[in-house]
Amino acid sequence: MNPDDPGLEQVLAERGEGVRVVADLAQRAIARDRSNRRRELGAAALAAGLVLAVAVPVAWSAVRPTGERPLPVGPSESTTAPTGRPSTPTGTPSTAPTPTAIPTLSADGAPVPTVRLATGEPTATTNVPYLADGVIHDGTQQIALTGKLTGGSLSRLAGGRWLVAQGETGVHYVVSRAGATVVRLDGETSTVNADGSVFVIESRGSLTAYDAAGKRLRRLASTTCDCTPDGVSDAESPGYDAVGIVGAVVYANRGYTGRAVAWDVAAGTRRDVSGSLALVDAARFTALVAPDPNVPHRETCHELRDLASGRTLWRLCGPLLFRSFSADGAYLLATGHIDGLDESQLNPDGTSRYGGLVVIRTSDASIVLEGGIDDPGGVGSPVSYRMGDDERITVQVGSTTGDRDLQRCTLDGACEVVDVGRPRWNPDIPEGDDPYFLSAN
Amino acid sequence: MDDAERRADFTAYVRAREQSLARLAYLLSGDRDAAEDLLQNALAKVYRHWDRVSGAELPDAYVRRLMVNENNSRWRNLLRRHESPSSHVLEVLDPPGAPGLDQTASIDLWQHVQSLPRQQRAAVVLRYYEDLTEAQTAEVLGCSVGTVKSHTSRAISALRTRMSEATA
Repeated sequence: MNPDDPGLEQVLAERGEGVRVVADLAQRAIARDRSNRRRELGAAALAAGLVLAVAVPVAWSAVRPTGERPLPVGPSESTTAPTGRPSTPTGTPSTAPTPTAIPTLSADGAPVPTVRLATGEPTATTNVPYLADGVIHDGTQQIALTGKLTGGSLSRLAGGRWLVAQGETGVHYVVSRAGATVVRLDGETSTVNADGSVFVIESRGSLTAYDAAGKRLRRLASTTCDCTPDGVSDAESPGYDAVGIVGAVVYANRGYTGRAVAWDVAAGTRRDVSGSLALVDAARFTALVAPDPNVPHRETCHELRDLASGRTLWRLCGPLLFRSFSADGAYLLATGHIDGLDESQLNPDGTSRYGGLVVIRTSDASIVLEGGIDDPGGVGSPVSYRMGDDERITVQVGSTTGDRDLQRCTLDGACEVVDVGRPRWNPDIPEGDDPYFLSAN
Repeated sequence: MDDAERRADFTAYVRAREQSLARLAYLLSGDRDAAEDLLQNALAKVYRHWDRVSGAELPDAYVRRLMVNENNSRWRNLLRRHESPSSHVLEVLDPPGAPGLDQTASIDLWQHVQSLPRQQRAAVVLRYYEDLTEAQTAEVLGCSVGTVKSHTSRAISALRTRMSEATA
């Protein structure tokens, strides 16, 4: 074959000619972006380099750090690091630190008890409130939302109110105890403190804090973030990303700088916090710190840090994506279903080391339970979960019918059905929305 | 640009370019399911960066580069999200056969193109289907012009050898 021969061009042209788009591609792409965002769970996942790496032009790569793939997880080891104040990329500790070994553990896939998902009719209850088909289920109480509000996220607010997002529309509503929408707030994501007395809405990198009635308390503009990468205009600054609230103090990451801020909504003060925060636990005043997105790392390790002293309690390395603390801070919930993992982080047959639900005890970083099949879109797969202070996990499960049901599982892996299987919205596409929304607090 | 405007702007871009992008996805991946996944994942990333992509002088160049990199990801097969039978995004019809081109040879050549290493296949598709220059292809592949020459040369050489073996 001669490269000048038109044969190759003709073959490619005729093969391309036969391809036609037969669905609303733009809407499907938007749905997939929404689904990907849920999977990535914010900057922590990006920082850990656990999403599919894509090449981006210089300007874009300046805004988000280049994805770095984690390397093989080695044997357990201890690393020496200073105690007292945590090390910071920009500051110097005011006192000479005393070297102390940080317990470092590996999530190496060693067998642990597995979750045994249930089938059948509901036989259990849950103390985690949830929203399904426009009705909030709070213990034995059911609150029907008025209007066409069906849900997108749910949080409990003080005074019997609720904060409900409508789908991914960027609209949140404060809902009365009777289910009526009383305040509308625009913004992409919401974060609520444990007792529901304060919440923040993030919109284009700026944070606005509200009380439980939806009354605005204070605003932290993205322009104060000091997180605009070189070569990018302030208008494109990623701004703040709220991670959690302890009392009236909002913990937020500052773009992709690997630094965070503690913003006291009551006092209006701010102080720097080192590290890129993945999760904040108000019950035990700790935070899970993600790897610095700007520092090359051999493997993906998260650290549990005491927020008061800055001391690192342990480091856990391995293919886990952390999603929430239990209400009492005694456990962390994570998933082992992660896009774009290096081969070394997978089982030899290419499957994930861990299932869709992994429970880690925070006192010693040990994995106490895991499970869910290795197929994020498949059946028998835990897709969202919350854990109260009763050592029980409420799990939304992809059932054998393709619907989602709600189950409650104990730490020994036994599960019971809490609520019936319901279809996803847009069930024909992989990104169809889940029907159950578990309360974030 | 508010969310509604952003969505409308992105939708207009996709509708104007979707057939072309779909064909590129199919030629890069050689398989309908893979092309559907590649196309949706790439466009999802375009949508996320739409404020910047839409302001770029050559948004198509960015989208092409994204698609090539997505396709080169070693984990695409493992992580692919499969469509249900009723949810396909693409329809792929058998080619009618180009005038003057032997149908058997055409099928053989297409199969050989699909068996090329991904970077070589991408170089061939960008050069011979998208009609990009070597410099433009290098930009999309994120490599030097010399590497493009090398990929293309090796691909053509391999195709020539395989076609010769098939007709021998």
